[in-house]
Amino acid sequence: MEKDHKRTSLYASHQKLNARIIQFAGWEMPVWYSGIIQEHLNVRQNVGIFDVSHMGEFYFEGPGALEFLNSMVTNDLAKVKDFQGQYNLLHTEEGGIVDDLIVYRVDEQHWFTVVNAGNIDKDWNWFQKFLPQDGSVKSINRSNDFSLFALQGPKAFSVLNDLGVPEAESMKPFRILDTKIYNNPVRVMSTGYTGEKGVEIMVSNDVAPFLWEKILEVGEPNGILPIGLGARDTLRLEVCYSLYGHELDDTTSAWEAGLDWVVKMNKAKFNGKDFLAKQKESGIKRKIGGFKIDKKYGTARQAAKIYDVDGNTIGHITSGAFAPMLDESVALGYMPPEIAVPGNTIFVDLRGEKFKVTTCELPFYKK
Amino acid sequence: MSNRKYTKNHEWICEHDSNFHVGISEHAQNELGDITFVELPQIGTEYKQGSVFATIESVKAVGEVYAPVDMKIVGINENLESNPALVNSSAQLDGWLVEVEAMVPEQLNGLMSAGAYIAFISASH
Repeated sequence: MEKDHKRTSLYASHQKLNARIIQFAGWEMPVWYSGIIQEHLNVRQNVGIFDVSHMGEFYFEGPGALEFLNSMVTNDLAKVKDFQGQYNLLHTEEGGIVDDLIVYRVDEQHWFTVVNAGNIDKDWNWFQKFLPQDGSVKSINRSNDFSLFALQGPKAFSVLNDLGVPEAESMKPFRILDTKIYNNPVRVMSTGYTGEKGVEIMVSNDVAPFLWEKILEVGEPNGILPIGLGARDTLRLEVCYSLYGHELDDTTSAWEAGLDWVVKMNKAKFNGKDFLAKQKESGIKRKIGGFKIDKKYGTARQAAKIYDVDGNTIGHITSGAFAPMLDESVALGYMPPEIAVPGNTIFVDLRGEKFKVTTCELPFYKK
Repeated sequence: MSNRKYTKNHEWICEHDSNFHVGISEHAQNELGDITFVELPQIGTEYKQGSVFATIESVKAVGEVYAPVDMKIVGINENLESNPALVNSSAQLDGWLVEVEAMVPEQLNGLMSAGAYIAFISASH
């Protein structure tokens, strides 16, 4: 492993669990512990805990914070209450997305964002580029200050109950609860990337190894397992959550990605508004669609071409993997908008051959 | 099987009846993770030593399997179509991939014994 890859506070814990470690976005992270399929099924049936400490956290404070953040993102932060978060996009006027992120409000002058690990520096520079110079907004990059766990699955709240946080169960989605676990201050957010019930928990780095091990211990009666990035990807793909670098990048617009609901065009101004207005007028040329393949034929992979019945290239795969709950392979890709709806015949590059598939309804899996 | 030989690409070949079975090693299946699909060649096809004769897909990766010797395919493990995970659970026994005729048996002398293979994988990790 290259020496300049970063490690979270849980690296030693992952080694003790015999995790298979890979390099991801400049970090050494567990891709699996017991196996991707077992971990995936366990999150859907019981509960899993993920180390997502590699993600970034930026804090924004001051009287100008709300106006500044609202001018940077596509969704409407004026609708966000205290101790609430909201899914958002950082969009450009060139028709691309800088990142997808969750923006949280603690109170009117205290906000923070959670961003993708691979985009920490890029996002920080993007915020800095537009930050008002009049002192009305203070920005702090606290990415290295916190560890972050995701606790996901139908039994997640049962585990939280056993950890002494019974009130977590009555949290509405996208809320913040500041509380303690074994006397350690933690910030619990009712968010997740798996399609299951659960939370993400911010803890300080020095107690992260203790809490990780405690949660695994206390969660045992509920069948908890540690879950790696491999299952994190198959879980989000089954429920069709976008992944930056796949469905989203600096060439994809919110409309193309099917994220219309994350854009509030009635907001006065925000980065990307002019582009999105023009593109809505002229129409999009591609959109995310999906299909399934019987597992006995294999899996379509990212970047594989999509063809129409005449053999013309009409798009490409953005994500493809085996979906353990469906026992089939699934894939998402960009294709013409009229093809991206269910019931259309397309051909995809599968190990060098053109393979016929039919577009299907999304998401692939629903609880 | 003491006559099993291994390659640097983590394939094994060993005698089976009057022919040979070829598969991937226990080490290789562990590296790949959960195997979801195995693509096997047509019976009758010939492969030169070192050429790709099969593809194994796991959830996270695609692995190519290389012919350990010049070989002709005389049989394939049909169980792998419905149960590719057999390669994980029994890589060196029930998870065999193909049955082959070794066209140049002397090539087997150039492959690693079990002990040499174990030393080889320890050295590279």
